[in-house]
Amino acid sequence: MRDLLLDVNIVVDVCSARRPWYIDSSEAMARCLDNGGRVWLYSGSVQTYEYSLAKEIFRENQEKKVSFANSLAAARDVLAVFCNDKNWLAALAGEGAVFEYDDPEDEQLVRALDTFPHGSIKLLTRDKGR
Amino acid sequence: MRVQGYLDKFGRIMLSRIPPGFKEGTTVWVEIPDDVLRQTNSNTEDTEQNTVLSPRAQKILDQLQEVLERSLQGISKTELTEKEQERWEAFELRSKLREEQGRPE
Repeated sequence: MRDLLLDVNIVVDVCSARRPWYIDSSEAMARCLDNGGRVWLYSGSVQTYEYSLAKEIFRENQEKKVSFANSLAAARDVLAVFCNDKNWLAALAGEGAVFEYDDPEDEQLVRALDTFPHGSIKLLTRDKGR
Repeated sequence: MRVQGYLDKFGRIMLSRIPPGFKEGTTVWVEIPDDVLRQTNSNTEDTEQNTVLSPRAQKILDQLQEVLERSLQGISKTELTEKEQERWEAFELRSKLREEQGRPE
């Protein structure tokens, strides 16, 4: 079974049950795991996971007057649990010099995927550009 | 007895506190104010209501939602550090840029 590297938008979908995407995102992850695949997170995206999830929690809980500081703390709690059964893909030195690209984040993920044998892993994303 | 609570996005009742002597499995009635109900039959909501998630997907979502709810109720952090504030502002700008590009966050 092919492994999956989760893009930030997928992590936010699942961790915040973001409508309507949480259905497909969680099912894709579950299917990978049910079939013996592994789910990976990219360690170079830690702050992006954290702040993107906090932003979604903040947006979803505005009526309850939850502050961004509390949303950020909640995002960290949720991510700590979410990461428990995931694999971390290390950010390597060669993935640092990406600033000349249109989207440095994308380029980092592309380079990170190149460290796997061809066809053994797929980037799970909702970003059609990737 | 009247207890304040709210419905989460999955239709589960979340109480602000558990009443003393409460027994698990007790049937309760919930009054939903009419003014918070939206008149909608959108495809998104239809899809959600008709979707049966696999046990593993459901378990993943349930676990994370439980942590989120518990966390939001227990946290009392009120201020961001200077570094967190800077990052938040930076991520706000990142979000705006992605929105302009039509890309999901």
